[in-house]
Amino acid sequence: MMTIRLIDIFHQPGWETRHAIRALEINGKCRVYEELIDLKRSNPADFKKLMKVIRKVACQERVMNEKQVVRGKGWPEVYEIRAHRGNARLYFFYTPDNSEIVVCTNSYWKSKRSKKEQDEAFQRADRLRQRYLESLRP
Amino acid sequence: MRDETVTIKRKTVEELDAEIDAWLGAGKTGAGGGTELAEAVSALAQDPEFEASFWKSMFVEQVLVAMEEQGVSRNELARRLDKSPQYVGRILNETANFTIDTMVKLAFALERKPCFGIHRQNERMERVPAVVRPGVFFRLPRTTPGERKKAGFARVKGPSGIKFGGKDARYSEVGGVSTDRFACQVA
Repeated sequence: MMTIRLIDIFHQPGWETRHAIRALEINGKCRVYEELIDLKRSNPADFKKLMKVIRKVACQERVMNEKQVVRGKGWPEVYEIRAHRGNARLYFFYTPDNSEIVVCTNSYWKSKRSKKEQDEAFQRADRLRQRYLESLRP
Repeated sequence: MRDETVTIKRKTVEELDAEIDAWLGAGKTGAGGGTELAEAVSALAQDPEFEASFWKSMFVEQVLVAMEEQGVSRNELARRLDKSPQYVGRILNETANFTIDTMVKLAFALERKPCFGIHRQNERMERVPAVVRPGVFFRLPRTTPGERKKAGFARVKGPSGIKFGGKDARYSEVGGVSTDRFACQVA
């Protein structure tokens, strides 16, 4: 039996946001949360850049700047957040109900100019999205 | 037109599920219940460098939206600003350290209104469309009382019964009702 729930990772009183930013927790494990904590400890500069774009995603209906948020080619429901001029990448999708919630799924550290790593991360994010949607079905 | 073909090697659902299960297996149970991330976000909320970078990015985002809506290219924007396309590129890349003067020029070049300011921590900003309708207050250009009377406008009292005077004077169409002293808007 798989238990999936969403946990709040970006709530800050005083920050006016359009979307709530949450992370996917499966069977009590929230890998994206752990990955963000690791990033904060190992590379605070990229963590800051990533958080800036996360906040933009939270505030905007959709982010236009493709240097910061990219929609998956082949996975149109999944988006990639890029630490602008950095290497950290974070994947998310909007919940189908009025897109009020942004669900962060996974992340990775871009180490080389390879599309394979990015495609794999998009595929993983999309599969996690499918698992989440399956868990909503009665 | 260049024909771009995207070749994606897709994994099967079983392959992906096996990978995801292994990836989850390496995680710690209950890690998401920690407070470290919330503390980091709270620290960022107090960081002026982070806040400045965020608002700069939001401004650039609004510029990009306006450019998209009007079909304005980077070169066209540079021409309107009388600046080089390289400079506009640095603005859009968020590497230029632009001034409020530049921000206002950008807004005007894209037929937008600039909006700056600070507000209390417990207040929120809201953008509302500008409308003119009877009963909504607005400031008239320099006119004499006779001209205002002739045009059908009269000075009225504010919601608290205070009669605004001098440069704070607000006018409404005769019979109009004030709702908010600061809700003055002229389309």
